[in-house]
Amino acid sequence: MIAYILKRLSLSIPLLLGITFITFALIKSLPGDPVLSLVGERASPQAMEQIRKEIGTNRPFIAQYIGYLRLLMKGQMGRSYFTNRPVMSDLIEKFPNTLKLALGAMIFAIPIGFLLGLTAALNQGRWADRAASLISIGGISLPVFWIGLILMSVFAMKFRWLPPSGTGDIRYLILPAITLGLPSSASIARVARTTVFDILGQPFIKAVRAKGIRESGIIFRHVLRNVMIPLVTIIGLDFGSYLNGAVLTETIFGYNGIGRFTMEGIIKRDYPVVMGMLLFGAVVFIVINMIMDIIYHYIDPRLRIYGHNK
Amino acid sequence: MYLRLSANPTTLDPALIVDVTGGSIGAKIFNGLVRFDENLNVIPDIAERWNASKDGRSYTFHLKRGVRFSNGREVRASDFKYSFERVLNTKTKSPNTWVFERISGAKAYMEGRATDVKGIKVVGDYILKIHIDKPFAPFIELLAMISAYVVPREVVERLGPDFAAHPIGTGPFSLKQWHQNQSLVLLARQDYFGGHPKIKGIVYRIIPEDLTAVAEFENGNLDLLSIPSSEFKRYTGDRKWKGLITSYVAPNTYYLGLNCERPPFNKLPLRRAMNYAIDVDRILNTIYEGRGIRALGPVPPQLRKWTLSKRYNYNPEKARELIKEAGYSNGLSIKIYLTSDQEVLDILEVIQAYLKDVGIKAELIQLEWSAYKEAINRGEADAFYLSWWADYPDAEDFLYPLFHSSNIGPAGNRARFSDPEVDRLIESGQAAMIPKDRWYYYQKAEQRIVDMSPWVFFWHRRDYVIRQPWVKGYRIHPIYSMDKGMEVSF
Repeated sequence: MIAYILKRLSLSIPLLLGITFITFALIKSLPGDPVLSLVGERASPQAMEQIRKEIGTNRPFIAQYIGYLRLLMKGQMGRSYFTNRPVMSDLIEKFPNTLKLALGAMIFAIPIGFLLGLTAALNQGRWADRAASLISIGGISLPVFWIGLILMSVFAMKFRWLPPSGTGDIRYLILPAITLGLPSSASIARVARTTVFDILGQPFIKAVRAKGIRESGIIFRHVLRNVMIPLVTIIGLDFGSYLNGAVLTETIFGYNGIGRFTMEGIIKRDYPVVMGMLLFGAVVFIVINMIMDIIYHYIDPRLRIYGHNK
Repeated sequence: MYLRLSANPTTLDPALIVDVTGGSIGAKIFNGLVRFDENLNVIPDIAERWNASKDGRSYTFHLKRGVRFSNGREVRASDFKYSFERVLNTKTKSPNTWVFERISGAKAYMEGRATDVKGIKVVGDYILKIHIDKPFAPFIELLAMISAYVVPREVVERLGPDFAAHPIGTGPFSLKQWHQNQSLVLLARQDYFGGHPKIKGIVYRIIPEDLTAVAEFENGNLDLLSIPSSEFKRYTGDRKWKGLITSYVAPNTYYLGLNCERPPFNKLPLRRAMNYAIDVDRILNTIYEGRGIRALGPVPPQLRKWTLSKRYNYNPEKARELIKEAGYSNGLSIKIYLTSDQEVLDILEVIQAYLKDVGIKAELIQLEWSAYKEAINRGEADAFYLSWWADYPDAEDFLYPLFHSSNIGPAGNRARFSDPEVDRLIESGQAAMIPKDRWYYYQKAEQRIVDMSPWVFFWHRRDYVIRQPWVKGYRIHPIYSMDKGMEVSF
């Protein structure tokens, strides 16, 4: 197992290198110039040239790129052009918030989505199925900022149970986590419903039923295990994207996560911030993919990725 | 006291601050030699008194004794010399070098030809002399700006770039805590030389979304709130809140810049036609909900000590005639650049309709802020929607950067307007030390600018701040980035 993880990680190095190159090239090809945001409305061209020289954006593209790689090699991500703070320390400060929010969203989304999907599949065509489908369609199609504002106006302004915005203890986490988790719970519900339904129609379920095993046993021992595979996939993907920040949710609830931080970096063309965060995002996805592969290994012997399970 | 910021201040280093957010916090942590009072007069701050020489080229400042940084050290004249030179030092990467560029020897220092700025002299611990190359009437006002705040050398040198996040100054408040993108806490100082603030401290909460800020305010979690435009009608129409709203027209001007450097707007009749074609009063009173006053020229009314004889009134007939005169009898099409802001788009769509009415086909090009700025700095747009906010409250700040030919491009003159007569008038005004003379030149300059019409002049925006019933003594400082927070209480 450890050998496998090491192999995967070493393979990810050229991948990351490619990602840094592509993102660097993309960012640099965007119109706009960080110096323009730095200098405000009134600046002499000489002052702008001087700042370009100091931050190095006047050098040729390749030289800038190599300079950035050197910095990474030293284990640094550089400093933001604007706040002058090391990108790494902002990341370390904000990532725990993002992690909490992503976990909170998943703690909300997984059981709700799963239960909805299961209920729908087991009551196919009946009212419970229709209700569950309605909820999940709503969850997918309602825009996040709308849900967020509705939740805020009901729970924060009308009942005053929860604070409208901010970052802090668990009370600050509930509304954003629900807002963020809702679309995810809806997609989990839909996938769960179709998969459970498919599996129930498979010949082996008939065989199991013929053996006289109770329906609940069928669901728990045979159906659930098979549902896990597609669910792990979508949960992993959603979780990975949440760990990269949730710009809308963070903005509505004034939540201090990495999504807003990245977004502001993009708007101001704060290259060190954007590069750092994109790179971090890529690492997150690589790690999540690896974890998913390991989970597959345990839940489905057909997907064993290394050796044999002893 | 709890206040809202819509964005994280990028830096609290006075040498680097360019945004209003950073400026309003910086004003509470730092002081300069002088500052503005509520009537926009220059009054003493750390300087006890000062005098200017007759030729207007040298200033002597006598510093107050016992002014201390929040680390306990007393401020000396040498601190000002250090702070000003630091702004000019290229290593600081300050965008605000223009504030000090007029001091003798500043250019030589910036270009590395001198080890210090010759024109800044420390005469004693409490006496500072500043010498400038040419007489420049608003010079004393420049010294009230954020970049002219004093910083303690030993702390700046110890912290390096981290000073931006851990500032130490002489102001009524000191920074206690700053969670980036989340909140910022200032504590009132007990040893402030200007007295005790009436509040214990200020908590700035960073809330990007307007509606969220409104929710926080209505839950009582914010003491003051600058009213977002979407909520303007509701608050001003509500009995409960009506009496708790303060408003003020800060020195600003909103305009549509016309690129004078190339066709079609290099033709004067066409620029005049633009001013006649758009019913600005109507837009101001409908879409803009009356949140401002009509601009007759570039200079805001509180800074204009004279009257203008010419103004534009809506007259589509006249506009059509002028368009014909400019040689576009078959109509023409132009590109107007704007930012991706819904309010701006609403205004520009109406303008588009007015222009269509006189035969100008306007295409609206919405760009994200950074790309927009780059495009208009380069002169890519035929026309663009923008505003100018005073750096310091002087008419000169609405004439020189915006219309002098030496400032074409990012320095402010984005309409790329160049007129030797206007240049000359502005320069004469800058050099005139007697206010009456100065106004004479400024009046002539403004009059000529209105006549040459490099802009369509829109309005001066009025800002509204709503407070909770328990907040007392609150007034909007005319340049709110300069409010020291001394009067407000509960």
